[in-house]
Amino acid sequence: MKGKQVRKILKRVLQSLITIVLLTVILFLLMQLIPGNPIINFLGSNATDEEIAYYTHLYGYDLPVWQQYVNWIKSMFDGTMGFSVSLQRNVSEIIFSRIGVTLTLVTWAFIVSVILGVAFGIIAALNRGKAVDTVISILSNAGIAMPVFWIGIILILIFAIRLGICPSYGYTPISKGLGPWFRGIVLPVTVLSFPSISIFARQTRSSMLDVINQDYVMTAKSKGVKKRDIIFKHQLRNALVPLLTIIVNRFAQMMGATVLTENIFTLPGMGSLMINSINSRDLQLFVDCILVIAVFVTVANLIVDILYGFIDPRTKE
Amino acid sequence: MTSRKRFWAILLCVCLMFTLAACTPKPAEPQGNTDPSQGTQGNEQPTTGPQTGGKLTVAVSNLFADYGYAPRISNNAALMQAWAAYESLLTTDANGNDVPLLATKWESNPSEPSITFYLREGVKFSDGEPFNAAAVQRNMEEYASINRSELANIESYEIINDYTIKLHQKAWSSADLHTIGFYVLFTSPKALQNVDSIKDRSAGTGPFMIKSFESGVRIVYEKNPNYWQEGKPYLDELEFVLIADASAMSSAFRAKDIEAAFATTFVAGDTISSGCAAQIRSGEVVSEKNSNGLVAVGRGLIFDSSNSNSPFSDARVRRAVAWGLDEELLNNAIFQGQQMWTDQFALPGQASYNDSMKKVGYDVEKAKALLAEAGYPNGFNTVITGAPSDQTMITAVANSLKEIGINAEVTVVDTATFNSVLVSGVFDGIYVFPYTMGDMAFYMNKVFSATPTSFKAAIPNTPVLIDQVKKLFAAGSDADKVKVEKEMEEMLFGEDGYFFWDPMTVMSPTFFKISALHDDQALQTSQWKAVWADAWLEQ
Repeated sequence: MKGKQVRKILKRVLQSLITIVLLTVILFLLMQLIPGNPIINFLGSNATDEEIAYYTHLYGYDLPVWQQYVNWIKSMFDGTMGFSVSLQRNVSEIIFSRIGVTLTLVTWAFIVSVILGVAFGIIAALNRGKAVDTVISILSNAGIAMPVFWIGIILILIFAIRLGICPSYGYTPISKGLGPWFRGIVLPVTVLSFPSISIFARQTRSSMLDVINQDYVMTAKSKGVKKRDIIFKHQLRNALVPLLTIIVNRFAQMMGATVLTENIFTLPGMGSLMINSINSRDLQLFVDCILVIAVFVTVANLIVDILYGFIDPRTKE
Repeated sequence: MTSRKRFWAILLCVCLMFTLAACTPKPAEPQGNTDPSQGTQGNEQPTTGPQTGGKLTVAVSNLFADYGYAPRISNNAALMQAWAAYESLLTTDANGNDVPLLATKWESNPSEPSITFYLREGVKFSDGEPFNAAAVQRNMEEYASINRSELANIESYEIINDYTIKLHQKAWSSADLHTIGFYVLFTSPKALQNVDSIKDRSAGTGPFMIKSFESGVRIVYEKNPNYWQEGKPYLDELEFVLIADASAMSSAFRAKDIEAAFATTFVAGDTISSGCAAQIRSGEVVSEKNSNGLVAVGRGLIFDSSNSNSPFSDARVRRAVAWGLDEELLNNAIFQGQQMWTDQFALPGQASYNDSMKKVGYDVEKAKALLAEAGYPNGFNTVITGAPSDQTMITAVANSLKEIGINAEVTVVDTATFNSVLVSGVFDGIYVFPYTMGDMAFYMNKVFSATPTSFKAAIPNTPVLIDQVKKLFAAGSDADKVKVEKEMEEMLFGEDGYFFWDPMTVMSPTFFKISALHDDQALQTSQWKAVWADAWLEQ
């Protein structure tokens, strides 16, 4: 790797770090503006002034905002990530117990989306104007248009209530068996991947059609290169360049979309944790959740930037 | 077969599979009652006596942060779950009377003043430690150390013998017996020495003990081998799972993934009733509600009476609102007759409900006359605010108020903001608020005292009511207490009452369960209690 490329990557890493630091400040300040008190939500509306004062002091909510921020940043370095009032334990402990569910969900949904979305896009592009293309286009449009919660409810109705082959709620870890794990995760993965499959299919089709009549493709055909090689080595590789940004951005969006999916299927992941933390005004927990997701998204974007250099030599300059 | 044909064949198969699945016939439904709200109430008659074994999974919309350290549990919904592992000195019967649990009897002495508890012998905590007077004192001191209000009036403890303890009060309070006896839960003193040791487990005297706890996900209880009631509990395991969304609870019921669910709001109850209408009609699922109003949550309108610029600072305006609302009709229309109704702090039928006072009824002309007398012949504009679960009620009240000339703009705030306002009492106009209907003295002291803790910014300091609360505390006998309570009802809600708030309805959570679950007594003795030791599943 050339020195220029390394400098470019380091510059990009630095930008990402600055983005994350700024994000922590903005998030922390914004959370102060939201009405509601985490201590009152924890104790309930019957709490006395003495109880509220006791816990407000105990958890440091009586300190100036800047000092609360500094304490929180310090907690990043001691590994606790602060203390969650609503769940009464260190935030890092909570996040570590939840992030596995979200990552499992997002990873599988992402893999399924990429494989099916790209495959459908290629099939549609190669059969442009034919019935297969029309069907894929209709399904893609439907996938984008249908609300995720509606798809989730329909799937629960069919597979959990009618057929009884999947649970209607909850997550079973893979340690309890592949079958129970698969039955628990298949519906949420389907729901989360549904819009992404549609988006990837449409984008792949469009990108493939852009390159399908390019000179280098014609040349390859005239030279008698195998059809499979033309598709994968010449067309798809070039079509991937614009597609890659969309795919990685979609990964970031999927992390956000878990909020809805996890709530539909009552999955104990980061999405449902964020909803609970905002409802209980658990500031530290909420800001930490956002921060973790922001780090994932930033790292994903960083990877794309680096990958671009390898896929599209033009971006090296 | 060409690839195109194969594609179409597969697509057709997939479509057929979905269509068949969606069209699978529903289970046969018996004819008869078609109104899900009229679901079976109470326990179905079992075919046998209690059977042991089985796991009961109960869906709840809230899980507390830490069920191991009982002194921190004050939230009613959390108490309902915590009572599986922890017990109190006394409990209540279906009529709301205090009855023995860990204490076999008690004596109150207003002149000393003190309360003496006689403790049950032979009780052990789940870690094997004995339950005795020293354990009671240690627990009460722990509660006091974190500023729990129940113990605020206790000056000292006197251990008479291993199973008798006397609590010396700072001043006689008629509220202490119930609040201390009912709300203080007992933990093994050995476990209290290291609070971290009971973070994810329990050490109480209850029928179960914590087996596992996934914060914000589920809590699983298993049998306590040291439980003092022989042969109980009947269930092997009891699990509470967090399903925040009522629609998801309904789906879980229909998929047979849960055996019971607590719906804490009317909207949640209505959602489950609608979703499980077929199961309720067939008797497969039954619903229970509380009817004695003990530890019930009342809903009322509170006014910004302390604000001198507000029309509600004038008692005549507040009374006008009460005259202008047909609360019984609204209650029936909004809640389809499923909630209890009252026009006082107490429920009709309860001892302290004042039948003889001059009551405020529904009279639009009288309301308009009062507004005119207060200087608002053409009414005025105001704001009415409440939580999302009360939106229908707020809107209905706002529409009714238009009839007497009050234009109330409806505002809905999220639950966290709502809770903060409950404590601060800072709001404009009218607020739809909940209040716990426990001991009147205990509750009124939060509102009417020199240092109020609820709605302090909304309700003005009113010496005559503060004195009345003192009388409530000082009442030496139950009869005296009821007499003072009735006087207080009239002072607040009679024809010439202060009407700092206007009672509207009394909510009860709904307990949905499969008909094979028996003797849980959920909500029967209090709004937030079930007797988990007695619950059993018909195999």
